[in-house]
Amino acid sequence: MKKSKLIVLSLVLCGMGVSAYSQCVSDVQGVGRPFYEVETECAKANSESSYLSDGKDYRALLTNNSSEFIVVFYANNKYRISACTDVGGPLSFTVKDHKNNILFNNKDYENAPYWDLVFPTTIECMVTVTLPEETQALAFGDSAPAEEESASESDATPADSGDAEEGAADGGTATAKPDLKPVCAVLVIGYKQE
Amino acid sequence: MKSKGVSLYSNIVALALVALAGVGCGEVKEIEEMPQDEVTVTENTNLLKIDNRVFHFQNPVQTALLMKNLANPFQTDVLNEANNVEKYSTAFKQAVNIGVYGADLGYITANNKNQEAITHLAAIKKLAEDLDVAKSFDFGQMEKFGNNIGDQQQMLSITTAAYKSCEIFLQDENRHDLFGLIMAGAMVEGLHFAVTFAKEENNKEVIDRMADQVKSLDNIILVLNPHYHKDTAPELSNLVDQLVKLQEAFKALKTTYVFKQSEIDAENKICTIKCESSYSMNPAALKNISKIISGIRDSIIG
Repeated sequence: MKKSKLIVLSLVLCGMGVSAYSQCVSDVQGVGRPFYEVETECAKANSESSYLSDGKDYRALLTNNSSEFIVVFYANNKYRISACTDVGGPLSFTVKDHKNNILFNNKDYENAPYWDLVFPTTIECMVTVTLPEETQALAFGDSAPAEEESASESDATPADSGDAEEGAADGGTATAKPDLKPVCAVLVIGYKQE
Repeated sequence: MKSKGVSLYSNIVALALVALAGVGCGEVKEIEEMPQDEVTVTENTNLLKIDNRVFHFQNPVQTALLMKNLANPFQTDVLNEANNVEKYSTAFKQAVNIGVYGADLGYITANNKNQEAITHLAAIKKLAEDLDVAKSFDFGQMEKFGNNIGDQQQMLSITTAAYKSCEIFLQDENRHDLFGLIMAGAMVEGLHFAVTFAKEENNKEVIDRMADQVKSLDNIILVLNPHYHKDTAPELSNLVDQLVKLQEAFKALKTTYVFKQSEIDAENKICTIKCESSYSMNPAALKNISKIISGIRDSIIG
């Protein structure tokens, strides 16, 4: 493995203590894998050696709900947000400031798997993740939640967030179907000084 | 599962053209005081969560990197001396100085000072062993540090990872007091860097970097407060008293926030945030805050 990848991977691996049980989809049918493997793959695919991890985990189990993360972006840094799912489909993410103004939305760019954000000033943000339709279709097939049930970024509020830690995406903006296996969704955030 | 790793990475490398698209800047939407209250969310992350309230803390490395440009040129005498470690016999001193040394290590590493890095790493290891949290620190990773001397990015990465694993361990063990103390040490050391380099006038960057820490200060107080007992935890309680005094002093900080549309470079996948925050403080308030920070640091490292 290239040295350039090791920096990101070593950081991802150290988070394996959090929700390390095998709940995410792997290449082998019937065999799960832990969140950190999804993060490792996400970092490998989308990050660069010049980005240093912010040292936080951003993980969610999603069906038709949304999950939100508080992220403080500090001044004079360029951040790379990489967004991935365990099923291989893209993940939508929206960055809003503390007044709910949208700073960036990857839905506007075909749910791009990563984007760089340059912050000239420190801002505490809310980053919301949801599954786009194509990922829902990939994960749930015919059982995919109806379009009108899907969480939209306009109605995602802190109180509406999903709680992946409890193993089910049951706190989302819409009622999750209980028989659907949630998708593992991760953000990997790295930064470098401008 | 389909792996897109290789192709995505290739895409990143291949993106070389520069073009601006979707530019929509300039509109001022609001000007107001920035609120400092906590946000309650539910999420799966290693952000500290107590009673369903999430607290965001800076990794000590990030604290140090923020201060790096300000605390320039590098000065050894702004650091807590590594041999002070022998003085720290209480759990309070050990925990809080793990944070102090962590910020120091970030600052040292960011300035490529290899010898200081090794001595400060040894100090952190000793404190972690004395505090019985050495396992949490993943010194297996830290021992790679020596092999990576000179590779600044790798060293910063290892230090970040070490503090992250410690954070996870302490949260899993419900040792929020120790976690809060480590974060307090790192924050105070970061603020110490800032005020050390304050000048007689034109301290905009000092004030900006101090403002970055206000949220951490609020969160640290909230995390340490449940452990406040003058009789059974006098050192921690004294620190909380000092931090509350600092929090009061920070009320002199005037903050404005202006939302502006972000600027998008779609081809290179870059979003430049155009929002503006500005902070101001009169010289007397800055002097008062500097004095309080120095007092807290002296009590921590002494």
